[in-house]
Amino acid sequence: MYDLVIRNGKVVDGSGLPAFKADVAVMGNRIVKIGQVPEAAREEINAEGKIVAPGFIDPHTHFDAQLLWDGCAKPALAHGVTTIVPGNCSLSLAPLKAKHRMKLVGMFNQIEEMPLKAFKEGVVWDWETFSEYITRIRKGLAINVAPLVGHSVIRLWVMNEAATERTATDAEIAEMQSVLRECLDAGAAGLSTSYVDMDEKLLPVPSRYADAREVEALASVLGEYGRVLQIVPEFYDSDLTIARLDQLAELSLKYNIPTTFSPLFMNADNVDAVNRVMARVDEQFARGARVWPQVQTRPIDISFSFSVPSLLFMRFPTWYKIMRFGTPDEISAFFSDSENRVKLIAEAAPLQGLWPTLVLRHVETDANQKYVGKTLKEIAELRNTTPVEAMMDLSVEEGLEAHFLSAGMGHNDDAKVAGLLNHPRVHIGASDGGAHILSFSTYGDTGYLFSHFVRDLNLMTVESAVKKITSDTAAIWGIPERGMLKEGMIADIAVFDPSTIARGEEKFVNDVPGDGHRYVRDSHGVDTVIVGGGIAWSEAKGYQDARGEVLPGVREMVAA
Amino acid sequence: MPVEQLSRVRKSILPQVGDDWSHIASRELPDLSEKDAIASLQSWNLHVYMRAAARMGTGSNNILPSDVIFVEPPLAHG
Amino acid sequence: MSGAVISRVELAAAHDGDAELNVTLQYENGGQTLVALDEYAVRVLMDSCGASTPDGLIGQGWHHVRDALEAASNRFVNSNSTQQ
Repeated sequence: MYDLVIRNGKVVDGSGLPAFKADVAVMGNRIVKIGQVPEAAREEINAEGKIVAPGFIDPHTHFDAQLLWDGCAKPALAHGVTTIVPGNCSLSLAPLKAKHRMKLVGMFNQIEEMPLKAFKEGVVWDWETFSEYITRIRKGLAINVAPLVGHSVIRLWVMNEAATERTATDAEIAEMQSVLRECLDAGAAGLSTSYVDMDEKLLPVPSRYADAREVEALASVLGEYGRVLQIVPEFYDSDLTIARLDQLAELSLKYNIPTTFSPLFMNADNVDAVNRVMARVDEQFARGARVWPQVQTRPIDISFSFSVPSLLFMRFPTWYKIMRFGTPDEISAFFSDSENRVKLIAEAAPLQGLWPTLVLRHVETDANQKYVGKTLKEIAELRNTTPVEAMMDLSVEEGLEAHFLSAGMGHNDDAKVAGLLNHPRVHIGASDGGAHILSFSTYGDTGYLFSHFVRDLNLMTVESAVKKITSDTAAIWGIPERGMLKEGMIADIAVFDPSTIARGEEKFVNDVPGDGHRYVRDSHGVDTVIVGGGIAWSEAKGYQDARGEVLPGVREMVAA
Repeated sequence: MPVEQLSRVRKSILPQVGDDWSHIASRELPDLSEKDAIASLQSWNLHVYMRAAARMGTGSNNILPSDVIFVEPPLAHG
Repeated sequence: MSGAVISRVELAAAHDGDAELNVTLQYENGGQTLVALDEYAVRVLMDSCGASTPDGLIGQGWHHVRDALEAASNRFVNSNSTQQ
């Protein structure tokens, strides 16, 4: 008798080969049979009409803090994600001396928008080393974690305040190498560094004070273990991105390590630039280097309220002027004045095309909650007014804390983005899961991949989409025994309905410790998510088994 | 593919210890006057101004040790 | 000496969900670069160029962009130092 059998599903095994009808049997934490399984099992899942795929791997997240109070990394697990890589962008929560805790909390607040109160009320600070942090998050872990260690944090550990003042001495670099070895021995999947991120004072993070000598010394340690170097390049500029990927290529070739950089966005005004970056990626791969660009699936939305000036209105002088120079009371009074309104309405006429897509995403009052999630066009109809007047009225009623979202303003050329997502040398990732929690939802990118690019637009096959976010990712990151459905592999499995899988609507929830909020998206069409052979989440029963692991890195795989 | 066969991209350097605009100008653009060389470098490297080099403590030198510094303008494409 | 000038301005969506202004600079050799400015930097740039609309920035010299970026960056240094 098996522990678990998934029957009647269509297996998309992660290889990229065509789907096939089969049952999948699990004993303990491993897949033991794929094919016809007449034997009974302790637990059975009927996957008729559904796809049975390897669990998805999200290689760019910031769940470091959330894992301290939520071993499921909600809602990632419910979207079919069975492995996450936190610790990106040079920031991890270990190694961390007690005296640096508040500085790092500030940096996480700046980058992830994780409220300070969440750390005060949700975190027992019982670790300093990376090993102690790993021990800490293992308790109650339901999702697999392949954690990166952050360069900025290692620098802070070794150099203290000087980490943001100067380059390191030879002795300090040697100490950083030792600290990195300790982290890799404790289970770090690699090292992250950043040339872009800012700290709690909006000044460059410590990694940006490192010279190339220091980065190379750390890369040489990664070479001893064959583990990954992740960087955030100056992604807004293609020449800078190319210069960084050339640096990565040299390190990859010299120390035989995989490297990855994120993000890479495709907008209407940078198509040629992205093509140049990709041409360079191709050339460096041809040399034998591994420099994987990460591309996210979701488009970029712009959010705004009238409490903060937004450039979205800068082509409309009356609007922009009152946003720039008005106090909240003055802005409210301006919006309420009938003469001003005539002028504002006339000036906003070119925005007509925007109203059907501009969504009200957050209000403070109970009275207006009923409009949240609706477009301004819909709200205007309900209120018997025009969209632009509805926007002004809601802003006044909410003390300017009505928040609006203009969807799909960047990374939004579907055909070109799909071209990138399909590219054999592009790594699908960069979700930023767990970051920007007060600005927008970073969850559900996998649902969006299947609903938008596979089902609606038919620009990818389901087999290649699954391969991209499972076996490709496992291979790039050196994650052994996962990422494919194969006998003998560990049973990380996502069962989903290809006709309904999607990311849900964005919603603002109150589930962060310290009465904190964040934007999330529920999963749609995901039936069951299995981690290490146990049902971690199902649509019917919610969160269940907690069999997540901190994944062994390449060294263990090579040794095995 | 040997490194020599990589296609030409915009030429850049990484700062050396103690580098500021003046040092880089004299080393990389010796044929220009210091004033013109610094102005050219700055115009080619506006990313350096997208953040302050706080606490580096060298006055007008806002170059970080990790910066890429271009020593020519963007190439004309197509 | 560089004579790069602003050749195009376009509203764009920044990675963090804010609106930003992408300014394209054209160099004398025909090469172009794109610089993203946040709301504060745009305000400084428009004041410095005497522009009342984004299109009024076209044709202005690169040093206006440098100075606007520097002012926008330095506001954090200044605000931190006054807090300390």
